[in-house]
Amino acid sequence: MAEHDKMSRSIAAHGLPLAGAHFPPESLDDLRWAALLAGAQANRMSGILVQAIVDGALRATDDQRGEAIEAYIESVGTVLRLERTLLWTIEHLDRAGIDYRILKGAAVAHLVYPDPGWRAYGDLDVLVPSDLFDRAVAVLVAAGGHRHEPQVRPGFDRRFGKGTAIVTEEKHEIDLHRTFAAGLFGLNIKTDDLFATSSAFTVGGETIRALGPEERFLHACYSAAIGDPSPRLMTLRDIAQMLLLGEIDAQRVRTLCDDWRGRAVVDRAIRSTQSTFGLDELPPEWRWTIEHRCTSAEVRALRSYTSERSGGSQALGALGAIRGVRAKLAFLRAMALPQRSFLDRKSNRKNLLRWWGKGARSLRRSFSRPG
Amino acid sequence: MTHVLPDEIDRHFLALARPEVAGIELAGEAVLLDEAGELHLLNSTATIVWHCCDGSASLAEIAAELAISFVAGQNEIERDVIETARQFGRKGLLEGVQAEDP
Repeated sequence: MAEHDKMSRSIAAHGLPLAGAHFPPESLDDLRWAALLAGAQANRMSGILVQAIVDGALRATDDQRGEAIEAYIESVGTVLRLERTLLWTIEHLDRAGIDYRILKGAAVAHLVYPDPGWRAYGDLDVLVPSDLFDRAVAVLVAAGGHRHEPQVRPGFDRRFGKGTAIVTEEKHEIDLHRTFAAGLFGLNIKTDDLFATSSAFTVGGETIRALGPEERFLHACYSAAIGDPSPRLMTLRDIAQMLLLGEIDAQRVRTLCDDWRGRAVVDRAIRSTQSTFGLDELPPEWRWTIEHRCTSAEVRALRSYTSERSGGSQALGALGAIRGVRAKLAFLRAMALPQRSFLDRKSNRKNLLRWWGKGARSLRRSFSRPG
Repeated sequence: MTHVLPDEIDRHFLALARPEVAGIELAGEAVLLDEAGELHLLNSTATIVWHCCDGSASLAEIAAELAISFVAGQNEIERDVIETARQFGRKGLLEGVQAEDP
């Protein structure tokens, strides 16, 4: 592993009860410092970087300290502006009587870390109930936002999608979610479960609702395992923070996870967290998370989230989680024949062609199987 | 609402943070974002004073509390608290205080 990667991981691990952080005993030379600072900024870890310097874990010259604080102030500026957008969002949802749970960045920063300054973020993630999804989009659009992208077909997002992005007049992005992920694993989640509990934090004197601790932990696992082709360092830190320092009911996590058929997702997330932070031993109550043996279908499904050109496989995999022939047909119809406004985007046209190709190959394979 | 000038802030002043000002804290130091989008970095002392600006106590009362907590001379602390509040006022962070032109 490259040295700057190792250092980035040490920054990400700062404050966790783990042995062996790898900071050098002296301050870094200019080149290595520049790489570390860039890594911290790219991973939204400038808050932890400053904290590591303040705690004396990472030695820094006065100039380096100043640069770290400058980077931190810049990231905090973004967060504070997003918090205004957060207040705007919940004001409109509340007024329309739409329940919500704040996900990821904002919620984790306020509820999981010692100070919100530890955890920067670049957009807002808001979960709304599936049956109110279209209304929530309409409310935010009427208030001045606009959809980043049209939906595949009317009603698709509410029934089958992960969600959509709304861009505000200030160009802030609100990821409006219906579930945690697209495709099979997202559709398997019982979205009503997500509103059964909540946690609260305060921004600007307003009480904000977030997911309950166990659902929040599971969401971090879904983000790490299937949110991006490779997991983000800060998301893995979120998992480690909750696992080692959070007050989470491991048994309840297990029950939800089994109910959502998400063991493979949690297994991958925990293994990534372990290897990133050298966390050899899990607390006993969490060992079940890595005892899962993935089925070949789960392996295929996981691969569809992490390979770059996998939209087609992900969509076809989702069919398995859709109940009822009519719903399956509606899904297939939307995927095969999207509405015109969706196709007006070049990237969507390309994805559709790829999906058709994938579907045709799957059909050919099905027909060529002997007896 | 009548506005006082920052330099008119004295020990009897009830400092109240403007609700539009948002803040985040790390290692005891706050970064504030004002309504105009300006960021302000506070040191740890100013952060403590900022947290006390809820309009419920005069600056003299705040200073008295801080003097007990920090085992320090009340006059010295009171001077610092008043000066800090004036700085907040100049930057437009307090209700009822005329900010200085940027």
